Parts: sequence; structure tokens; C-alpha cells
Amino acid sequence: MSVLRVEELSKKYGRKVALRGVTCEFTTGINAFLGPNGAGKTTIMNCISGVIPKTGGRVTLDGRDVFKMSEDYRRRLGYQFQAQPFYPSYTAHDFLELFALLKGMPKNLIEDEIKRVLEQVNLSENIRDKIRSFSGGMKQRLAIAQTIMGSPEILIFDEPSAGLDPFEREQFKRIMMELKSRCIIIISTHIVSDIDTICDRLVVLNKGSVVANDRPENLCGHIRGLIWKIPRDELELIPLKQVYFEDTDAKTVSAERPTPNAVTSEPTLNDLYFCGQLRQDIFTGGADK
Amino acid sequence: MNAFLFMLKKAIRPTVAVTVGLTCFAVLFMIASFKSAYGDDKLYAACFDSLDEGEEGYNAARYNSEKLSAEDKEILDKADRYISTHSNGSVPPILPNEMVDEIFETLFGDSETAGSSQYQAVYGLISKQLYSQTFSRELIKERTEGYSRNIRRGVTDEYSLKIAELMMDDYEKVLEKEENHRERYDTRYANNFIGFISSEPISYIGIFLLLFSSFSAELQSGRYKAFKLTKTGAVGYSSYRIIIGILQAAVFFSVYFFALYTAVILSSETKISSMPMQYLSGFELSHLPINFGGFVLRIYFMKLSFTLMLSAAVMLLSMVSRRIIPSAIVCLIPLAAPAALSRIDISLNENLRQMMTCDIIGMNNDIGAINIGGSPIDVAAVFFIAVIMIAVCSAAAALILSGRRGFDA
Repeated sequence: MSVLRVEELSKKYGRKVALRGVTCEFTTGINAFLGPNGAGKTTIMNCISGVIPKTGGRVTLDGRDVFKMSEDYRRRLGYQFQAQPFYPSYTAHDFLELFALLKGMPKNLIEDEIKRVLEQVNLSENIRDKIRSFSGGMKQRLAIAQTIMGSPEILIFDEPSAGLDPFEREQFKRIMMELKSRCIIIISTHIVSDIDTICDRLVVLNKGSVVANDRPENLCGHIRGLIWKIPRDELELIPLKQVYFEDTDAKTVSAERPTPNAVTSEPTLNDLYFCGQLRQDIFTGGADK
Repeated sequence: MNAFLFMLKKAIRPTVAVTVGLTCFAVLFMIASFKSAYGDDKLYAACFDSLDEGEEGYNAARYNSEKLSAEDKEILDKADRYISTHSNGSVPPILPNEMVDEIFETLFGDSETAGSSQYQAVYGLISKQLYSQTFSRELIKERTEGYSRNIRRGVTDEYSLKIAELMMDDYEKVLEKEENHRERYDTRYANNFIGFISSEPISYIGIFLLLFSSFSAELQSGRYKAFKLTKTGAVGYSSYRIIIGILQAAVFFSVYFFALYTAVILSSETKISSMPMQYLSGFELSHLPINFGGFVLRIYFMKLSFTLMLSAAVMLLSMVSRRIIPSAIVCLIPLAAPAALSRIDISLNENLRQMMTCDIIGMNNDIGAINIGGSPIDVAAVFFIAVIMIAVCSAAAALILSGRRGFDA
């Protein structure tokens, strides 16, 4: 089983610090970065893949520095960008063929592989259509197809569900479930429902730092008893900026009962996400203080 | 390799579009400009054929041209005299009808004896062409005698002696070649082809259209990042792109050049490709013992190497500038530089100026040799080596830069 390890990874853009010594580890299965916009999710993914140079720290695959592995690392990597660039004049087939060839796939396997991945993302009927005629969701699915083509060991998806409709999101999850037994999958998102039922390990990021890093059930254990549902008529009793809404409920994070009729709620990944933003100290054992 | 072939296949369509479009335009433009400058081909051929062979033919053409010019001048002077003697204050007089008719007949009439301006232009052109064909041999002989005289007088400068020796050898071959050519050639199109190809900007426009966005479009769109993460990597992708860019430029320029040459050959009634290149106006003293066809091949290789150098430079700048609009601006610099340098009066070594501006006329119309370490080296060879070195350095710089933008350096 391969292990992708990130140690004290830091990145600065001029004076602005984007990553502050991030340390985490990814193994086979679905690993997710969860955090708000600007938390550093894309930066860490770019540094892990080598799209941008890191300022400090190490990224290793089975103990080997990935930046020294060069071609061997890239051969094992599939990356889907947040805004995947395309050639609008190419057909879906041409686009995938180019990437298959650049990935070094043997020519005799390419046609079957293109058909396979397009079928997986439900684009088989559009194989000869020009990309310029694709909708946003179709482009996103084509980007996913490009990423998983050639069955790389490490799959990195940056905001993969952007532009996908609910059905396509579920389909994306199914693809991830199929691949998780043999790949290290890293997904960055700020949409909890993308990963809530499938992820094996969760890294919550905020302002370039890791706020929490564990299996989702363990992280939920940290916040059990801290999540409160607030009745509508008691909402004005607490500052609104401490409230978040989930489905029909208004919730807050607190070590004590925040309002007279508030009731505790079984934590979800959504709660975990808001805990990461509202009360980062919870994961470092500071919630009781 | 498969990725390279795929990318090459994708580059065919834009290359064909640019090549066909610009070549058709250039051929039409060149032929139209020649036609308008030469007037009536039949009249030219009639005058040309009416002249005797050799020096007498040249003298007759010159005489006719001067005579017709004198007649034109005489009738115009007559009109001037009439105006000055009949003017009434500031009001100019009206010329008598018979004088107006005479002027029109003399200048624009249809008969040779009337001395029309059209005939005068034709004889002027013929005399200019026949000068090279008639006197090239004499001029070369005079020059070789000059070299012999210098050697006899005991010139001790080693380089001068070497160049004299080299030139005398070359000129001997030129004279031998010319001995076999007693034919007279209509060199109008050949002369103007050389003039056109030495200063035309259309091939530079082609290079610009094909290559200015070769890297900047990939960098701006973010595709370059995606290529970087494949097994081929940034350096592999960039090397494919550079080779394809060079091939695109070479194909474009070759088609462009030979289409123009073919148009010239088809337009010329005489077989100019086999005439000695010294028959071209301005090339009487060239030391190259080759015919016009060989000379065209020589300038093809010189221009091609220069084009490839510019292509490599454009691709490097496309990578440096990163975005499409800035690269469009920056890439104009190396393409416009040769034309600008040839028009700006700056003090430069003449050989250096010729090479920097790809002055194929200057590099070939006389003693085309450069003093390198005391030995005369063919200017075309030096030019060729220099531009290929710059092209290779530009391509290498682009590759190094592409590696620095990824981690696969």
C-alpha cells in the first residue's frame, strides 16, 4: 500500500503565507481536504503535484521525494484542475487521445481506454463532439475522464463537483468508490455533500493550516455533544455569526447549552466543517476551556 | 513519439491555412507589382528582339533610351519656352492645339519613331539589363588584373594575398562558365525576384501568425500546467512544440519561397535559371561561379536559416511573455528588427549589418568573404553557422525555461 506523506509543507506568495507547515498523510482510499475558499486547498494540491514550487517542507511517496522522482511520479499521477483547460476546437476523443499519449500510454490501448473512461463519466455519445459545444457539467466530466485515464495510482481532484448536477455528483461518488480500493484519491472541496458518505480520511484546513486530520468518525467523536440545534424563536439570543443552517435546522457549536431550549444533535461532516471554521480549538482539545 | 505525431497532425491545418493564404497573396502581389513596373510584355519583347547581340545591342538600347529621352525633353522645353514668352503676368497662356497634339504624340504616341515615354522606359530597362550581361566579363577581368598587379607590386598583407588568390580562382571559374553563355536573357523578373525576396515582410508575418502564441496560449489557458503533470512533462512537451514550430516555419517558408520562384520562372520567357548569376543587375562582380538557379538555392538556404532562427526566437519570447497579448507585442520585435536595422543609419561593421538584416544582396553581390583569423571565410557560411547557433541557443533557452516552470528539469 502506497503512502503519500506531506511534511511541514509551506508556501508563500511574496509576503502572503498560503500554507503554514502542513503535515498530513494519505493512503489508499478517499482522502478529502475540506475548507472554505482561501483556506489553501488548491495551493496544497498544486504543491503536492508539483504544479507550483513549494517554499518549504517535503512530499514523499513511499519515502521517496516526489520532486526527485520526476517522470516516475508524474506517470503515477492524475490531476483534475479546478478550472480544467481544454482545446475548444478538439473533440472529446482528440482531447483524451492527446493526454493518453502525453501520459505515455501504449497506442494500441488508447482507443479502449478512451471508450472506457467516457462511458464511466457518461459521455460516450459525445465522443466526436467538439468541446466548445459542451456544457460546464460535460466539461467537468471530461476533465474527470482525463484524470482517471490510464488508471494512475494517485488521483487528485480539485473541486470536482463544480458544475455537476445532483445525478452527476452521485455518479462521481460511484466512480470514486470503484477506484478507492487501488488508488490514493485526494479530493478538495468546500461542499461537504461531495464527500460526506465516501471519504475515509478528512483534513480540515483553515487559513493555510490543518485544523483537523483524522477519520471522519473520529473527528465527529471530537465534537459529539458540542453541536446544538437552536429553536427558531431563540435565534436572537446568540450572535448570528455563531449560527449556521443545515437543511431546516439552525445550529451552533458550544460546550454548554447555548439557549434554554437548544438540544444536542448527532454530529455530521457538515457540523465538522463549521466547527473547523468557528471553533478550531475543539480539535486541539480547547473546547472545554 | 506518438504524442509528437499527434501534435504534428494537429499543426497541419493552421500551417496549411497560413501557408496557402500568405503564399497566394505574395505571388499575386509580386506579379502585380512587376507587371505594373514593366508595362507591356509584348512591347518589351519586340524591342529586346530588335537589338543586335553583344555590345552593339547594349549600345543601341542605350542610344534609343537617351535619344527618346532627349526628344521628350525637347518637346517639353519647347512648351516651357512658349509659356514663358506668351505669359501675361501671372496668367499662363493656353498652348496651341497643334503643340498639345505634338506633346501627346511624342510622349504617349504609339510609334517608336515618335519617341513615346513607354519606349523610353523599355529601352532604359533593357540597357540596364544588358549592361550586366555585356560587361560582367570585362569587369571581372579588370578586377583579376588588378589583383595580379597588386601581387606583382609586392603587396605583403597576408589576408589581401589570400583573398586575391581565392577571388582569382573563383573568377576564373566564373569566366569559364560565362564563356559557355552567349545567350541573351530577359532578367527583369529574376532581378526583381531577388529584390523582392530580400526585403519582403510577408514571410515574417507568416512566422508571427504561426508561432507567436505557441507557448503563451498554453500558459495563459493553464493547459501547460496539465501537460506538466503528464509523463512527458513540461520539457518533453516543449521540445515537441519547438520541433513542430521549426517544422511549421520551414514548410511555410519553403512553399512560400518556391511558389514565388516558380511564378518568376513561369513569367519569364527565357530560361533564366541556367544563366550565370553575374547577369543579374548589381551582381556583375559576384565571385560565385554558379548560375541563377544555384544562386536561388543559395539564398533559399540563407533565408531559411534566418527564418528558423527567428522562429526559435519567437517561440522563446512566447514562453517568456506567458500571455497572448504581450507575446503578440514582444514577438514583433525580432521580426521587425531586420527591417528596422536596414533602414536606420547606424555605424556597424558592414558584414555584421548585412548578417543582422539578412541582406542577401549585400552578402552575395561582390567579394562575399569575412576575415576570420586572417583567412577569408565565405560570408554565407559564417551567416549560416551564426544563425543556426542563435536558433539552437534560443530553443535551448526555451527548454530550460520550460523545465524551470515544472519540476521535471
